[in-house]
Amino acid sequence: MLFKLAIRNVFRHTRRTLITAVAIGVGLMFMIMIDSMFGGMENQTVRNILETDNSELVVYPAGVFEDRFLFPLDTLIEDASAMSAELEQKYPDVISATPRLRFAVFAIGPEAELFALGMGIDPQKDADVFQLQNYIDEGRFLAADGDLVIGSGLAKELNVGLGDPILVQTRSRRGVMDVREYEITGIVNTSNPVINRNAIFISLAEAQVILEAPGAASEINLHVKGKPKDTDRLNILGSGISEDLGASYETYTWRDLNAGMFEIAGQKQSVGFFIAFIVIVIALVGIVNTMLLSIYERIPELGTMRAMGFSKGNIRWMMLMEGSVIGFFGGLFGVVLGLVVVILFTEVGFDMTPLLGTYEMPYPMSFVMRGEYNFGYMAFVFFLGWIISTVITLIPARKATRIEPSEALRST
Amino acid sequence: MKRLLISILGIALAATSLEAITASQILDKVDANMVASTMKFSAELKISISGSVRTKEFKGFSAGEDKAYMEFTSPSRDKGTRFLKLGDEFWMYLPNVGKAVKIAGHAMRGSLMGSDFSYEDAISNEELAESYDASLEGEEKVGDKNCYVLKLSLKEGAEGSYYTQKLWVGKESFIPIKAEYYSRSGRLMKDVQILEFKRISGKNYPTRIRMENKLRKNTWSEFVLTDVQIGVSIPANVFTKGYLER
Repeated sequence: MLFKLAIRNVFRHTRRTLITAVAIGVGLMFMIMIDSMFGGMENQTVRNILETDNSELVVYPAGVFEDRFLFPLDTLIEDASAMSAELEQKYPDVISATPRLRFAVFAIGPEAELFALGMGIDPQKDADVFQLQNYIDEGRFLAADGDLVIGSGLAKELNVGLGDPILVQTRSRRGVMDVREYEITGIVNTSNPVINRNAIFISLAEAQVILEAPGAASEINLHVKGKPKDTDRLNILGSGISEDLGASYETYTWRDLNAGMFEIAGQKQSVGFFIAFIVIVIALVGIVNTMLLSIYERIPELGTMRAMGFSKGNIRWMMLMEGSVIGFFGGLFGVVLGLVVVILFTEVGFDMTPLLGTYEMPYPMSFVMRGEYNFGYMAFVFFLGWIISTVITLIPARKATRIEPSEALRST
Repeated sequence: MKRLLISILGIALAATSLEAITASQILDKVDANMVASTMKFSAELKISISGSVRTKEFKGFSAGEDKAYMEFTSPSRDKGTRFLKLGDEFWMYLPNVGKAVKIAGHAMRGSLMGSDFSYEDAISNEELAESYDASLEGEEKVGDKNCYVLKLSLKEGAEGSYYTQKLWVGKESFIPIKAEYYSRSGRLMKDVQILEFKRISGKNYPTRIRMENKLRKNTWSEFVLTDVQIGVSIPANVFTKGYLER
């Protein structure tokens, strides 16, 4: 009977109830949207990293992880192609594997010179793990020794284009300098600015000659089955591989290799959720306000109910149910609205190009922002909205339970 | 007959004198001049880019192969910029950063203050004979100076920046009046000329060195050393990070 009464009370003032439910719904919609946006951004960043820079699991020689950005050539994986093939065969979860040899380059164009990231890759094997070949803007992907593919941003900084000559200065394993002239045979434009701004790709065989490191590579990238975000699974597989390879090697996940970047992204995400939290608080103040108004309007009625024998507990329950009903509909509305926004965001995307102009994103993500479906989070948001709306009603309910029947009836 | 005998004797003597000195002996003499146990100096660094010349002043200390210190004293925007080499480590201190920053190995080949000298060129104090095999290619005149032409090839397994070097070593001074540095692929990277040298502490030591980075266009740089003191004692604390960040 209390529930029936609560439903009837809620729909007594349809407009007020609707406004409150919509306010809650909009707050929840923001939470869902922000989650989808950050999830989408993270997915895109992860995809861009995995398609161009690091695979799901990367094998390094022991001890170089911390110094990997200094491109140490004294500790490399010797006979890397053989190890790569062995890893590919031995582990059913490893779809493909490829060695990469990273080195510091001093790139000299006709008008400018810049430090760059050199990468020796095996074009065939690399294409089984990464997707660079799909991002060639001009020219071709590495086809033969002597080919050079350059990141679009780096080419722009050096003021060079397809077919232009470029001098590549390197230092070999024993410190010997080498300078070779290449013709640019391809320009790669990925959505990963680290690659676009810094990278120069040549064949692995050629890099090994220049660096006096025959057969060697800095790392072996393993493309692994399953979801890349499932880092627990990756860690288990990585630990197994490290154990099998012995103390001379270490295995890291893509997340370990990009931890710094995700830490910053995490901080931004916290700010996003804080904003959503504020919106929710505002919506909840709305529900408290609605309930209080409803109580003040119904003081005589509540007094009559108390006089008829309804206990304070009955009144409290009735109020909680009223809040709960508003919260339920608000939550439902929020999730439906959120879902619509997420569908638009994920399927169509939000093109930020006009907003950004010539600015390049500092993270590996594209200009078209896309969302992510996170149905678990939507369910969580629904229940969160519902439960908090119910619980928050305790505040006005307390007021309602304090009404004395005699005073209430006198006020009529 | 007498004239013929004198001619034969002359030729024989010339041949003997040519054989008398080997490539490695020449290189040892070069090292004896060019490598200082300890050194203290003041210097000017002239940098010419497309005809416009800038001058920077600095002072420096070095001890053996492993320790070197440089501090720029002018112009005002470079004043206080300091460099320290400690073994394989190389540190830079910028006054506006206020902290010593370690320079990565590959950055050592970067340009020193925008000049044609790399950091490495500027602080290297290593004996060439340690890392290079020398062969005598002949004799040539550089300007008015008679020189031995030496070809240096990096020894198998040895560490060094340049794969081959060609030196024109003054027959009297035993300093490389001219040098060319080549990359592993045989490309000329740098051209060096010693324009002046002085007799200091029993060594012929270069005091004006001009370098042209052949990978750049229309540039040259010159080190002009003044007040060079060789074999002097240098306080040990100079070669510390604390002194760099003082």
